[in-house]
Amino acid sequence: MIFKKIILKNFISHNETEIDFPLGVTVIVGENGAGKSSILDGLIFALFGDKVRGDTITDIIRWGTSSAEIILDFDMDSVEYEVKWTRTKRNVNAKLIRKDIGVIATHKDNVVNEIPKILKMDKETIINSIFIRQGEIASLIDADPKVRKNLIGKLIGLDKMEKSWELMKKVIEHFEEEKKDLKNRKSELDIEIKTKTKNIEKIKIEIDDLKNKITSLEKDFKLVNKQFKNIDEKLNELNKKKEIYNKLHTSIEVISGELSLIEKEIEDFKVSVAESKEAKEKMKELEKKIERIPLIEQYVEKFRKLNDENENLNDFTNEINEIQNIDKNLRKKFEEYKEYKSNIEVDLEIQDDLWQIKEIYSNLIYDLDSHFSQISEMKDELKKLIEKAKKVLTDITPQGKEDKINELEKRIKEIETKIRNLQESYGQKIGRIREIDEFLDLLKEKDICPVCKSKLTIDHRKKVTNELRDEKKRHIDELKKIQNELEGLNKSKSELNQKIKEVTEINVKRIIKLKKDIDKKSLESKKLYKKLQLIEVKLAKIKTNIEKDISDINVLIRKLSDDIQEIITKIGYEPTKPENELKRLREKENEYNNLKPIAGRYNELTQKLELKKSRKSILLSNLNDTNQNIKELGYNKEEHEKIGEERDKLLQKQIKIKTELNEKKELLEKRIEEMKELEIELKKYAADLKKIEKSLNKIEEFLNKLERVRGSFSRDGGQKLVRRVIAPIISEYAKTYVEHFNLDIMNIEISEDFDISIVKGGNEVSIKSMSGGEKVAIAIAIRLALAKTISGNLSSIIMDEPTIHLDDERRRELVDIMKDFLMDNRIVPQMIIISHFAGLEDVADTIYQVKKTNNVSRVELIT
Amino acid sequence: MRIAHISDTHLGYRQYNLDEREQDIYDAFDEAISKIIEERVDVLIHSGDLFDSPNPQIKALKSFKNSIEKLEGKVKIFSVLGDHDMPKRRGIPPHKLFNVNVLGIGRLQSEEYKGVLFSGISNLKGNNIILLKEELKKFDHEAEKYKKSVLILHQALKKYLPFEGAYELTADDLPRSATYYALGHIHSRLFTKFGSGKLAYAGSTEILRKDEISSWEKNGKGFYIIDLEDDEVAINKIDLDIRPQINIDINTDELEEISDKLNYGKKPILHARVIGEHIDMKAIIEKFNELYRNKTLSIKLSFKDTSSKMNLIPQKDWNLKKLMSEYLNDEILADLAYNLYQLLIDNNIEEAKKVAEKFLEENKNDL
Repeated sequence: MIFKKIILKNFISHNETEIDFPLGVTVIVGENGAGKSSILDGLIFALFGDKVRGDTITDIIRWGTSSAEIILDFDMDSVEYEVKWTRTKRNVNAKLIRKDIGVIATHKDNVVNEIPKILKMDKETIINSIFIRQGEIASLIDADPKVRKNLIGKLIGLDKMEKSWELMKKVIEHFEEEKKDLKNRKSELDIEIKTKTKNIEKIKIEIDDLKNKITSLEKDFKLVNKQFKNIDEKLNELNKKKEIYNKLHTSIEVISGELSLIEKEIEDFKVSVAESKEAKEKMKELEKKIERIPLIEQYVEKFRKLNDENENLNDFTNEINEIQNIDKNLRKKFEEYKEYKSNIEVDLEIQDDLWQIKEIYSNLIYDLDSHFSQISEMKDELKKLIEKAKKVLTDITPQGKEDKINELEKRIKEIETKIRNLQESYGQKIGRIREIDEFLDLLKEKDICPVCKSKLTIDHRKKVTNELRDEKKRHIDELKKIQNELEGLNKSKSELNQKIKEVTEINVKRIIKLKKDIDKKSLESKKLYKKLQLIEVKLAKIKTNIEKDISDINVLIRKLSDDIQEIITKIGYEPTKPENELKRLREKENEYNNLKPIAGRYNELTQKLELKKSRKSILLSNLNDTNQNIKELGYNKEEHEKIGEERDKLLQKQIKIKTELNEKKELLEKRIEEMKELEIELKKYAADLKKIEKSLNKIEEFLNKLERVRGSFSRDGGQKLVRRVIAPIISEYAKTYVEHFNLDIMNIEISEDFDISIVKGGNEVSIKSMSGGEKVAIAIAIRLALAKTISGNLSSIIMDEPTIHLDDERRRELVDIMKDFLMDNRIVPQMIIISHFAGLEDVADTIYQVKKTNNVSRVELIT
Repeated sequence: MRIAHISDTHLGYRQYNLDEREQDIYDAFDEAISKIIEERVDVLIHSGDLFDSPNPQIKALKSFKNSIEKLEGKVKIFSVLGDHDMPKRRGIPPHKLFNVNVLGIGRLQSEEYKGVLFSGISNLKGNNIILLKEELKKFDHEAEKYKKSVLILHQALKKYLPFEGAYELTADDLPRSATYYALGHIHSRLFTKFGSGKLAYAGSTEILRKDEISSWEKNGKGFYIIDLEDDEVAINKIDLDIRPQINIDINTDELEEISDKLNYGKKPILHARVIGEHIDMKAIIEKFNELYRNKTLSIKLSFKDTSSKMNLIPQKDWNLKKLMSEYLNDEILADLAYNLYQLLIDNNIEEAKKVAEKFLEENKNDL
């Protein structure tokens, strides 16, 4: 295939680009990002309707436009074709035209299917034979052998075989699964058959057993039936005897019932009679003790009275003591406050009650004490005030104080008038002195009289000056006198002021009030003193009364002691705790009263006891008669029960044998039926097993075949064969191509493991020892050989950035080598090189420069 | 008018990276100049690839200078640029250092000399072939005015280089009226009648590629002398004494029998293809070194092992299905394998399972 022309409209960065591809070497150069690779994308899109580069082209439509168009003209076996794509955001239109015939395919899928048919290669082969990708040259030279081998393998499609080898595993697994299922089913069937066979054996043994058992059971049944009839007759006789026995037994029970009742009654009566007799005797004993109760009651009463009187006596004695104490205290207070003793009449309403008197008495004492201390305080204060007042005042009254102040103020006013007069004459004197000083100054300078303004003679001036000086001296002396006088007056004035201050400070009103208060308190104290005297009288009266009461009580106590002595004599001893004794005796009295009715019933109870005893002897004789009858009957209950049990046992045995017999017979039938069924099933399973075994064999055979098929994809199988076949072809082509390089390389051999061996300058050398240029040449030769091997011939080759992984020197060498190779040999009729490396222009027949301006790629033909 | 037509001198080329070979090429050119002087020509035409590169190394420039100075400016030189010495992007060709007249870069350029029209256009290719063809159409019109005309080109004609991409022009693209067509680019020497005149490729002055050996053996290497005085254009071939190169096929048992073929004044370069079964490459390489190292400048060996499988398998005729069949030795199973392969590479495992199941079902009785 030869590319002729491509037109890109609004494709990626291209606005409207048209590129002719002549034969020979076309180099498309441009900076990275200028849009070179978009041209390659365009070629690929035109052929396959999609993008093959690894880059992400999110949208092939140029930004800001709505549809992209790609038109590619190409030539295959001298027939020209045009493929045209229109891509909008929503859909894609494709058209393939054979130029001598017309449209041969429309729609994307048809076009994409048709192109490989025209080119006689599948998509992968087209790509690998036409496009030499970025870095492939470098990878073939420099990568470690494994990477290089992988790349070669990939280019000739071994990776696809590897992939199908890998995926084939899943296909095989699918059948392995089926095989596993079959195996599982087989083993299930094996188990099933084994189980069934075993079951049949077991059932056969069981049937034989059952038959034996049935015969023996039938024999047993006959024997038991005979035994049962005999025992049933015996039992009927015994049942009749039992009826009679039961009647006799019932009458014994009735008699025995009454007899035991009567015996109990006799016992009860005996107890009651004994109790009654005992009560009678106890009562006799108690009577003696009860007689003491009234005496002890008297004793208790007298004794309590005696105690009461003793307590009263005690109380009165205490009162007397208290009165004596108060009396003593009173005498002390009377002495202390004797100054208040007077004849003032006072009222004191009090009764002859010691407690009330004590209350009033302590209040009075308290009041009197406080009055006394207040009065003495007031007297102290008064004394001090009067002493102070006496120093400045003769008459210590408010009027006296006012008169004194007035007098003092009057004197101050007189002094002040004197001061004012003195100050005035002082000022006049000062004024005159200043005037004289001025005149004297004037007289020093001028000769005009300062007073009369007339001209002065020297003498006159001297005279006047002397007069003035004398006058001034006189005035100064007077001024001193006035100053002394003023000082004396001011001192007197301040003394007077001090005095007024002192007089004003004297509190005359307070003095008067204190005198009044002292008088008042003294009067009250006198009243209190009088009241205390009244209390003293009252106390004496109460004391006399109490002493009379005490003597009355003493008489009463003596009488009570005599009475108590008399009662003790009657009792015979002196009761230590008479109340407790009295309580005990009263309990005995209660007991006595309770015994009285029991003792009263003695005769009645004795009679009833005799009646019951005679009824008991009649009942005993009846009981003897009945027992005699039972003995004569000769019925044995144990024997009867034993016979009954034996009969029941035999009956049970009979039923049991019958049931077992029936069961065995049924089971026998069932087992026979089961055996028949099992035999049929067994036959069926055997048939199934045969079928499954056959399928299993088949699938195993098929799995072998699939493994072989997988082997035909495997690295050591099919791939190895491909490598073995293809390696010599690649070697042959590579050798041919390398000859066209101007190099000293004699031979290239690519082994079936894709190891490369090289003969250079007469020696086999490793690829590592080759110079950079030689390596590049070998890589290109191998790459082209691969392209030719897979596609059958070399037509158009597109190299994308062949220099990309090469250093500067290598790049240069690449250019030199390509130049020799491409310019003179024409092994490749059309080569399109896309590169940012301008050096490649040297090998070009045609150069296109791609530039991007304002984000639009522009392609320019360089001539 | 006597004209020397020389071409493809490729000064600076260094074959097999050998110093001797670089010098051989300078020597060939120098010899040619000496012979041109002897021939007392009026005009020297160089039809391209004077230098091997548009940026030749100093040694190449010096060598050229030394040789060209021998002409003492007595010969008028016309030249065009070849594909090798055409500077890219409108650069200055090395010729300008020596006042060598270069005709027509990107256009047909003409100059009259002594009543003869000399037109030429430097090498154009790729997209510029259209331009080349347009320019060539102008020639006939210009040549009408002259009795004799020469057209100088450095291009390949399809007739002589009939590979896709290798040629730029067919005979039909050439103007018809030139007296002499002085062509360069094809390294084999040849001339032919064309229209009313003659057309010649002067060829390279040295053997620059192995494939030139046979034409050198037949026609030699050198330049042409053209005499335009008569009505008929006369062409004389002048040969140069260059280093020989020998290309032979040899059986492993005849290694010693080429000794007599190597007897030359200059040590030749030997290209030998060794043919045989189970070749012991190392031993043969040693043998060649032992036998011929001293008689040759360089030995280039290749091998064709007739026992190896590669010769039995026709090229391109390998395909996976056949290989699978070969591997499995079972046509039916190979069909299955290939079907499964195609499904699995598309990750279509489920479909692959179905195909396998179907195969199992259909071939139940055979299993």
